[in-house]
Amino acid sequence: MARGEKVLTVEKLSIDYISRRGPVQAVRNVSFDLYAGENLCIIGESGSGKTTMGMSLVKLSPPSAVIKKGTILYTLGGKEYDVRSMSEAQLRAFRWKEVAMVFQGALNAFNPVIRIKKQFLDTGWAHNMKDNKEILRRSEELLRFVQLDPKRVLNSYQHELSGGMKQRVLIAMSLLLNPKILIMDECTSALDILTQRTIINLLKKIKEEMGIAFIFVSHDLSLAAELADRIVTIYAGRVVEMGTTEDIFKNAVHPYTRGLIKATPTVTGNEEGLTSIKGTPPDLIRLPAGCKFNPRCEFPTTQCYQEEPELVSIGKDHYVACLKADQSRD
Amino acid sequence: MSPASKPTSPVIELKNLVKSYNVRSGVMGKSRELRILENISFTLNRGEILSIVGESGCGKTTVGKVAAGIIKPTSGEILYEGKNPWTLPKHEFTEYRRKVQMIHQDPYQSLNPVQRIYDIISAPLFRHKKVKNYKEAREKVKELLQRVDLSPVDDFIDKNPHQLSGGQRQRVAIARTLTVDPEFIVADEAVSMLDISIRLSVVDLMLKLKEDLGVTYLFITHDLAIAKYFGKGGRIAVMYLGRIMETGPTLEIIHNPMHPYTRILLSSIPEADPEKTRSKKHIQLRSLDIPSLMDLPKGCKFHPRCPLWLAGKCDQDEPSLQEASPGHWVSCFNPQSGPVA
Repeated sequence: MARGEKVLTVEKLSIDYISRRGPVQAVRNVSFDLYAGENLCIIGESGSGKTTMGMSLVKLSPPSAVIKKGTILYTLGGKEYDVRSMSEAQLRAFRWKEVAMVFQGALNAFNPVIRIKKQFLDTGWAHNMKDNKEILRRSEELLRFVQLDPKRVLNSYQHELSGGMKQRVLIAMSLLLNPKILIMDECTSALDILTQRTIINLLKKIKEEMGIAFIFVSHDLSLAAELADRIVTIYAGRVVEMGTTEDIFKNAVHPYTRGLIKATPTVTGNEEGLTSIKGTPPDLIRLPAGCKFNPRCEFPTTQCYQEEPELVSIGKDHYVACLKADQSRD
Repeated sequence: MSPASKPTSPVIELKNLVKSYNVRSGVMGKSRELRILENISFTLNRGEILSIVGESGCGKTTVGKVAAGIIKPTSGEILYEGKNPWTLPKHEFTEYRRKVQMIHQDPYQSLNPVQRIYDIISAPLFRHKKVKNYKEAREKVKELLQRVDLSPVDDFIDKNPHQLSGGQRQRVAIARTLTVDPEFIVADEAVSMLDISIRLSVVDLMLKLKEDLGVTYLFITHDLAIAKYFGKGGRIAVMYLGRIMETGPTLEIIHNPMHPYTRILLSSIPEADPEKTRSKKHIQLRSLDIPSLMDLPKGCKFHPRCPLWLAGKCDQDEPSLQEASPGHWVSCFNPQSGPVA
């Protein structure tokens, strides 16, 4: 794949939640890049820190989440935005205009007492769009793009729309200011199969026609298989493997990534070799020593209990954090 | 007429079952009938698995609740071991309730947060007089925890639910249903909330219980891949707007779906294999919106969305389930055949 310019650099990002039992290490030393027009999928299970990471990319994490170190740097339209040092006012202008985000509770994202039309207008006004006609023209165009009837939708309240429709309205709204990056957290998990398919096809269309870069945060491998150009697997707040979709599905090296693929049944595939990963996800307050995956790993060595592996390159664009990366390959 | 099955002893039979509610729109509005289930019939034999798949709002949970005796059907018959539980004397109804247990979707809500695992599992043991005293109860609880692979048992027995992970909680929920030696388990989205990495281990546990204890399952899910994995040797029923559109042996439904709705579902599912999922041919729906139960279309309920509908036929008459090949029943005027992907 021809690669665009680098639009986002995340480097050595660490985030803790303050809790009574001690710091919850939700994100630990995470680094990755995003390139223009690329579709990056962040895969992890519940409690792996993926949502915390997604939120922090636009500095929306709750007050109890403390960014301990690291940089989040956007390079958009020749300008650099260092999210960590931006003021609240700067962030307000930056969010949605440059980077739009659709989060898990997307279906609760609307104000229940104003019409959808007003919400589109509000969004425009907040970002210095003065001409109401222009905002509405653009809104109608976008609603048609997501296969909705603009006349009906604009005059509705949120409770008059179904879950799939709300999701599509929100996607339309996220495109109102022509953002360059769209962050989506579990954007299809609460939807039915047929609605999910509509959204997936829509996102493909957005990527092709508008050249927007996507960051998907999901637990769903099949979604990644369908949409991603590159995949980042995270476990216990850390990147354990990163590579192209092909690398991950065909030549995964980390036992966790391999385990996840083996644990996902498919409709057309056969059941041979399907199995769960033993054990349970770790407690992010009391992480095990050494490699955090060692209690669940099939072939840990003594070294795995002492030393936490660094993310190292094992091929073009393919990185893995495993001490036994050489042996665990096919 | 009901989809045929082998003439061994049926555990549960549903015959032309209808469930409807009266709803009123507004304070002064007229009361109208909302039909949730329409003419549902199926038979489940001992040790069999029937998976019910469908989208939200199709009535699959209601079918489960009717089968478990939690909801009383409006009309039609439910027979458990040949007897209609709703006409049984009270003590026999209690016995039926004991034999039929449910596993719910959310293990974060189905377990009492202020009780210890021991309390949660021992309560039904005392209630149904399976044990006499604390010592016996403790032994029995340990045995059950062992059975659902929560070991070492002593690590779990005195914990509260919040100290366990989702998968462990669901195992506790399963152990609780096993306290009363159920014969028939209704599992309503029992694994959909669990993390992928441990989902299959809970499914495998449920399959093991079927082998060891001969439990019969009604497995309700929206996930066809899990339905296929869990119910390989069983049957699937695909529901849409309160009706069974197609039913048959699991692998037959997956590899030779006949109803356009089943075919669209199968073609729409993304799969965890980039090559396969990106080369899938998607069948387009005519309309994206599901009709409201309050305002159902005439004729086949799927025709407003069906790409293969026959004008003048599908919008006039409603098809009924017909046996297309042995055990494979489909309710469609224009059935297809062959694999979809």
